[in-house]
Amino acid sequence: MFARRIWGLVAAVAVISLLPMSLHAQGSDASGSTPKNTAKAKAPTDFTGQWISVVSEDWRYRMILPKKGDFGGVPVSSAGRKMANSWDPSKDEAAGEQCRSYGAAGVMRIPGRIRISWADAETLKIETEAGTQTRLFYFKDPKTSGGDWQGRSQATWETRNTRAGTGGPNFGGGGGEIVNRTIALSGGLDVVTTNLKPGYLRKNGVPYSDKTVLTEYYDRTEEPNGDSWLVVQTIVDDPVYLDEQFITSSHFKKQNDQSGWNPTPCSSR
Amino acid sequence: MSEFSSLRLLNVASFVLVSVLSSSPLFSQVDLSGYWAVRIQEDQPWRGPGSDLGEYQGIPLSAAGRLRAESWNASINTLPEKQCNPLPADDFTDIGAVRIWPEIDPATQQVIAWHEYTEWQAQERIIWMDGRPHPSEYAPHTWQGFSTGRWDHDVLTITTTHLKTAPYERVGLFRSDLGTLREHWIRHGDHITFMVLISDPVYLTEPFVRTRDYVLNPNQQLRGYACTPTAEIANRAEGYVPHYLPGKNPFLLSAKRFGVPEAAIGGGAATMYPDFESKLADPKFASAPLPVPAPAIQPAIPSQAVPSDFDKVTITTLAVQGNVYLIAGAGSNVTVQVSDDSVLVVDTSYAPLSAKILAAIKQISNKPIRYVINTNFDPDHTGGNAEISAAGNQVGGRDPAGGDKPPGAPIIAEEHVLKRMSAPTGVKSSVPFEAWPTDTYATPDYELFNGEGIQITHEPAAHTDGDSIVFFRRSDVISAGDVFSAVTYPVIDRKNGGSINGIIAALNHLIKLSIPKAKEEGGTYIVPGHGRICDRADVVEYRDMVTIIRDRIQSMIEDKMTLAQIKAAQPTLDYDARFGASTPSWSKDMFIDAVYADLVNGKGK
Repeated sequence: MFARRIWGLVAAVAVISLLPMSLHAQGSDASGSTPKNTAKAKAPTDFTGQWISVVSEDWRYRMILPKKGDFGGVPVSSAGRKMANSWDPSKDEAAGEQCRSYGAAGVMRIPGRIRISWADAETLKIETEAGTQTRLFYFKDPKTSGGDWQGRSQATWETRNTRAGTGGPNFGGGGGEIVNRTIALSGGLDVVTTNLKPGYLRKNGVPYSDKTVLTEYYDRTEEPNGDSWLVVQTIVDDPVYLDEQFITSSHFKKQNDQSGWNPTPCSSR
Repeated sequence: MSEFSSLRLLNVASFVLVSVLSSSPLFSQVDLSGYWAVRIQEDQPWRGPGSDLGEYQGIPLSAAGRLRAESWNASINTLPEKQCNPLPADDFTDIGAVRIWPEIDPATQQVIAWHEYTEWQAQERIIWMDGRPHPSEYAPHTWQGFSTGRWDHDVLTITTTHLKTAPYERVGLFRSDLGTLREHWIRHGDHITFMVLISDPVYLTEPFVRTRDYVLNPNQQLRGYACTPTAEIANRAEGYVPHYLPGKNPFLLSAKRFGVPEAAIGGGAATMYPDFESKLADPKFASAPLPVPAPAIQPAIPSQAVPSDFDKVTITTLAVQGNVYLIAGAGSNVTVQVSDDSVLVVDTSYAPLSAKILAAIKQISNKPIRYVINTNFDPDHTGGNAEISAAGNQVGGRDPAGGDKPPGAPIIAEEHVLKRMSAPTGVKSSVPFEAWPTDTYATPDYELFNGEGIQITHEPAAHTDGDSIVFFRRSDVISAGDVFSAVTYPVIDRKNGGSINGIIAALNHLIKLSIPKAKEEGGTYIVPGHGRICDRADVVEYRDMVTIIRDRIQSMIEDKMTLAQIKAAQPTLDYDARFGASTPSWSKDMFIDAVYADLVNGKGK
């Protein structure tokens, strides 16, 4: 009797302590099942819903078509500079390549709403209004070999060593190595995308190549006024057209409903 | 189950409980420390060369924010009192490298605070993690504000208050001292993102959000920075404030060279959202200036009206510096200075608050009140004279009634205060005799000694004709009375000898007397007639505001505009949400009336 009471107490405290984590985890998928070990079930943060980009940075490069040769801030290589200076949107249109600036390395900077949902229990989906693109983040083996605008995206929930006194934390996403220690989901989503079709970082033809490795970190914040923000840090490594990493962070505000959704086709201008 | 088994089970259960409960703090500890190199790949033209004047697209400016920006003249930064203004907390991510390190309690090994040093202009911020509350509403504001933090998963979330009015962009885009910051510091491996949300009821209509990226760079060497102000432009008139009159800034349109549409260039919240982009496809929409957002004229600071119930007034006591304290609640601020054997009180607030004020003084010192000083004759500064004076006593005085009771503390004021409070022989004054000043001075200044030198200076024809400021020289604090308010536009009591010219002269005098500790912060503190404790930078901001509004109204008068036309043109628009709070006896309109009347009568300059 005594033992039962103690364990009951322990269980109750444990349940209460873990409640915030489980609240973040997603509900059932289309089939109604929620296997415990799926990425969806383990999600430490709920990124799903409709978000709207708030363009309070790089306005001139995002809200209007920048002038040819204006690539301030992008560490373009000489090859990239040459390519950007030869940008001709009419050629892209003629070649049916209007979606060059809507590829994975550029699309999150294009103003618009995005919808995030679970395609299945191991695949997170982002749909964009801008260019009507769909990105799939695979937590297991990607079901694509890439080669298109959105490439091949491998997703992981961030984890971190949580055992005290065992040699410091692992910050995830390129930090230290996780070695046989207690780890916990720590909130963020890391996505690495490769096998991209060459595209543009900005609409005025600042290029990235098919050698690009795109690393993204997704985080969500909550504000006292009820707002919630999605922050996407984008790190573009391109040995061809960039001299060093090109790093930007884009922010999206959560919408309470699905209103305003108006997908538009790709445009070169 | 045996007792031993039960105990063992209890121990195991306890361990599980402790483990579960302690997992939370461990879970939310990320090491942010290190040298971080800035990456100016986002917003590069704005953070490197700097924004162009008049280029506000993507910023949720209010009409007040836009007018203030359009009036801004870069030459203002050449003023010695402005040269050492550092970057505020809003802008620490703009350009410089940073270093972050924890402050750790040696006993508990818990992080008490995170420190952040920005190389550009050498700013250090402290983010308190120990749960301490934010300071009193009457506490001074600083460039970096007061910050507290907590962990949300792996993200450090920071709230910052008590900021000085400061620009978040170098082209006259300001956040007021009523603004706050919310930040999220997000580390992923060797990358860190600083997300800063600037909120301001005065100059923004919704939060202005920026996200900036840094990369870990352990080999970074950061430099210090010392600033010494100097006269960069010779022969400027004292109190000169560079600014452009509304509609007369010749440099505003330079951003057009980048092809920014007319509809966007003036900013406003609408320009931040994607739907605005699609509207720009319509040439008619794109070529027309976006309508100015509705003016934010609702003052963000509560009115200073006379309380309807004095019993409900809460009195706040705050140490200012040295031997000087502030007692605030309703009515005027009460400044208290103490020495080893005496207490000096500057202004006595409303009469019904005297008991509360005396109780607050007793909490500061149990020494007798030896002096009461009035900075002007207004009832909210002199109402408690009789009771507070009577509670003290003179040194060596005799009972005026011939008994054993020593006389109360003398009430000192410039002689015009006595004239305004008293009445000619045979006429009954509305103010009781006991509340009248007992010691007046008619010289430019007057000295007292109470453990330190105290200099009382007459500021002629400012709020009234009898204003004094009180300078506690060793404590380095000035009690300014109503020549300076942290709450409202200056009250210009023209009927009793006040003038806009005198107000500006008094503000410039305060600026001249004050010396900051470093980088236009701290050093000399100024207790205004109403509102929070200030320093020189706050007086400069206020002086600039009053001077700019005076110049605008002067220009409108020269353009033959009537008073009604001037009011319709909203010459105070960019300051109304900060200083436009109304009382039954003073309002924005009355301020404009007074300035106008002074100027048309040639008393403005």
